[in-house]
Amino acid sequence: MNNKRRWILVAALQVLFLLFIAGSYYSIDYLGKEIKIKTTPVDPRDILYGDYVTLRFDISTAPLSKWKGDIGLLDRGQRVAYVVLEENKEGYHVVQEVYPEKPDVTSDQIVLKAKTEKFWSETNDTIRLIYGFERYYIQENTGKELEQQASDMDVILSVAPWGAHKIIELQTNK
Amino acid sequence: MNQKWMKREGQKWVEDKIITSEQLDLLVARYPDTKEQSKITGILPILASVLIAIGILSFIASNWSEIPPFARLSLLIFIMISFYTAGDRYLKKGHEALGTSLNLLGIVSFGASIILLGQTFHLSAVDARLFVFWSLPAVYYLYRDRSKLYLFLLAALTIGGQIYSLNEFQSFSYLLLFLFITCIGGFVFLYPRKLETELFTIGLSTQIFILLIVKDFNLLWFLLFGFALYTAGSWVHKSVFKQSFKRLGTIIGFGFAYGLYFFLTNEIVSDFEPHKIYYLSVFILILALSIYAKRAENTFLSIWELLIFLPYFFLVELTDALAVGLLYLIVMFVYSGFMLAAGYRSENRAQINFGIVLFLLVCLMGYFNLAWAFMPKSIFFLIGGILLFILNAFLQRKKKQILKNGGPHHE
Repeated sequence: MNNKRRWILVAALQVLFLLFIAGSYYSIDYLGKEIKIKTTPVDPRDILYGDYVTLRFDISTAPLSKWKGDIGLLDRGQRVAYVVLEENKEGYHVVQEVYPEKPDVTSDQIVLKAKTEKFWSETNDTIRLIYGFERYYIQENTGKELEQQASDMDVILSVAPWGAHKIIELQTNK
Repeated sequence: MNQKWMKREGQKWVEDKIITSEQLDLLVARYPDTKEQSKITGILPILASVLIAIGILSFIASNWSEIPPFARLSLLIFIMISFYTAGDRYLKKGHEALGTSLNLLGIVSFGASIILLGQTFHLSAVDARLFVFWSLPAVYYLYRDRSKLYLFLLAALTIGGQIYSLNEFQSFSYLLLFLFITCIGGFVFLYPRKLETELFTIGLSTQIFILLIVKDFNLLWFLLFGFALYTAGSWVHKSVFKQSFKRLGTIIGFGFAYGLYFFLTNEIVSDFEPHKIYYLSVFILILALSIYAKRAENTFLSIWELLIFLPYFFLVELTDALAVGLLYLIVMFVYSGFMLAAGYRSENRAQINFGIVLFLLVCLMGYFNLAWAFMPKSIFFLIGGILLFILNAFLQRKKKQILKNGGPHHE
């Protein structure tokens, strides 16, 4: 390919990149495993940002005792962590352990990658976990009802074997 | 300058017998005004394409939720490809401004596509990677066409991405810094131009500043960065870098001197303690490099320029803060005095002017801070104004005396 036509290659790469994002998203449908997690209340000022709703989950925080690594690592600001989830009796997935490196897990466990930070609360130290599916984009100006229910909903999440994830559905409990 | 103006002015020269009318014709022919013309008409297609882009984007945005996801993707790809194709076609025809701006729109729509796809699929970013991918086509076009418009877009994407990363994730993207240094730094190194180099220096400093904030460093480390930048100015050989590095480094040093003077004279002394051993050893290293470069360049006369970078704030431990604050004021005085003297000596008008402004600024600063508290306000402003007038008149007259013989010397 000569120099004059190289821009086509560059443009094609960009198209491929966009298709790759879409493709990896759609492939979660076929290869992913569905899990259910519970949302928790959020500071109401934080929820609505115009075109998306901010969600917090049961699994967004974990007590410091679940951290299976050097505590000093957490003191140095944000870092990547691997969260092992397991289903509880009510059918929700909850945090089992949090590792600094990718752990080996059994087949009924799920590993999610998260950004973590130590967090001092009044009662005990917890770690905050940010997964990257905390935003749910909605049509503009339809967030009000969702906002009122956002504290008590179930989220159906599909997790692909390579760790990618997507929200399939938001279910209200009332 | 256009030809009409040249002909009119030239006619007077011919009448005054400075040049002959044949010479005037030759002169006029030397400066065709096509370039200027194309500059003005070149803006119109850019404006037009921006308007079209806004139109398309707002149309999509208002109907977005009714379009099924797969159609959205196809639409985005179609728009992006059309921009690139049209851009390429116009560039081939020689319409540089129009072709470039269409390509720019292609790059913008690539980024917009990533963002819109993210929204469609409820993906939220966890770092500034989006901006890295977004920058890549800009890098390609920058090195292919060498148009400064791509450089501006690339700078906006990398620095903007860094600021976004700071706001959203409180993290610093080393990848973006790397991209900025290699691509923009590399470009201005290969094709040095004044404005672009300035952009590189300011962008680099901004990102280092963000890095220090994110990593929770003591901000006084940024003063060392300013010193390092200044020193780098002595080490590089390209004159555009030299000027730009030295200037911004000096501005950072002066800014810190002023800030420290203000804080210390107001007895605000908390948090002035970066790790002393690390700080001083890095400082001494840079100082040694700077002195070495001055020796090698044979510019020992300008050694006073280093005055502004010395870490006087460590003296707070020995004496009280007010004294150290006043020391900063004195240093700034001496510094601007040296600047003036050096300007007079080299008969450099720009340096003299800069020195005058700096000197007056320092005078005003000291006067405001010291006399504000105990003088009646009307007298305070009156005396301040008169002082400034007298000083300015004195300095301007001195400048005229110096520059009278031989006229102005530019850098």
